[in-house]
Amino acid sequence: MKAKDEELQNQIEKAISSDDGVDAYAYKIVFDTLRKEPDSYLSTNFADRVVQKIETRNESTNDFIWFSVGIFTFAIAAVIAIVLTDFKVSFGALKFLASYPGLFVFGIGFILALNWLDKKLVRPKTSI
Amino acid sequence: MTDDQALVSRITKGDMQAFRLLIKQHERLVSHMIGRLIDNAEDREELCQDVFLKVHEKLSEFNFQSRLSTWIATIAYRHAVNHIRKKKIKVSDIPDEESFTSHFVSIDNPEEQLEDEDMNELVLRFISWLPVQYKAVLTLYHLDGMSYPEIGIATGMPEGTVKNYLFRARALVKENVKKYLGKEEWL
Repeated sequence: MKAKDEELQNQIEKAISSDDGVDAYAYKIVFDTLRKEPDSYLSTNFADRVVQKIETRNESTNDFIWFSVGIFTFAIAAVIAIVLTDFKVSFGALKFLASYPGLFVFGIGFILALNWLDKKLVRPKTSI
Repeated sequence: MTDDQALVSRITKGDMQAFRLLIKQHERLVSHMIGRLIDNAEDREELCQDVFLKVHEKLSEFNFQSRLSTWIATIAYRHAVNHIRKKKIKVSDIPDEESFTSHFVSIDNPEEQLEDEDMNELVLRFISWLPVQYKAVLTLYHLDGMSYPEIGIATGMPEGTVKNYLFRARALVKENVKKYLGKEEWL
């Protein structure tokens, strides 16, 4: 059975089959369909859309790089300003936090958890 | 330097016109693979875009060990399989021959559901019921004219497995067509 099918497949692929049985006929139908080019489902400007996506992504990367450079420059400027003006930082108003380390950690954890839930549950439903 | 090498060289230097050309040359290959493996029509174009985004991202790592089209087919195949897994659609292991043949060919009364479809659509429906690996092999061989070794590289299957899957896939579809033809004669 397998050998006969293999032979039939080979013959029909090479278009040299003289078999007129139902197996050969069914194989001809299968091979004709397999070779037939399917209808295209891609839009006519498919290539342009892909290129546009890449260019947008590159622009976002550039924006991020410039943002990082800005933050770095600001930090350097802040350090220089502190050194030149001999500025003293006072954390007096925040000293009470030292008495409640658990509350401080919980607060940060709570904010992070809310952000995570927002990203996972809320934004996917509201995004278009 | 081959055409592919020249094209890749231009793209890695930032020539987007060259990348447009690469897309035009290979969009049929990618759309064949995604079209056959992904049932949801709404996901197909986006997946094809993702394949080419990945191609662009990884092109500088392409080392010309295979043809460019084979490498792109590999990305398209993996992308489709990952998408199917992500959507929690079962990527079935290939079952043993006898049980699968009896299951595949005993699908009830295809002619009742498909009497208005022409034979081409009927065969395509039978093909869509095949396991992902079978559909990938059929597509690369018949639509994209790849050789057994190239299909092996694209899908990560040994050459013997490629030949076996190709034979079994065609035989399974043929059995269903035969069954349909047999019932048609009775009507």
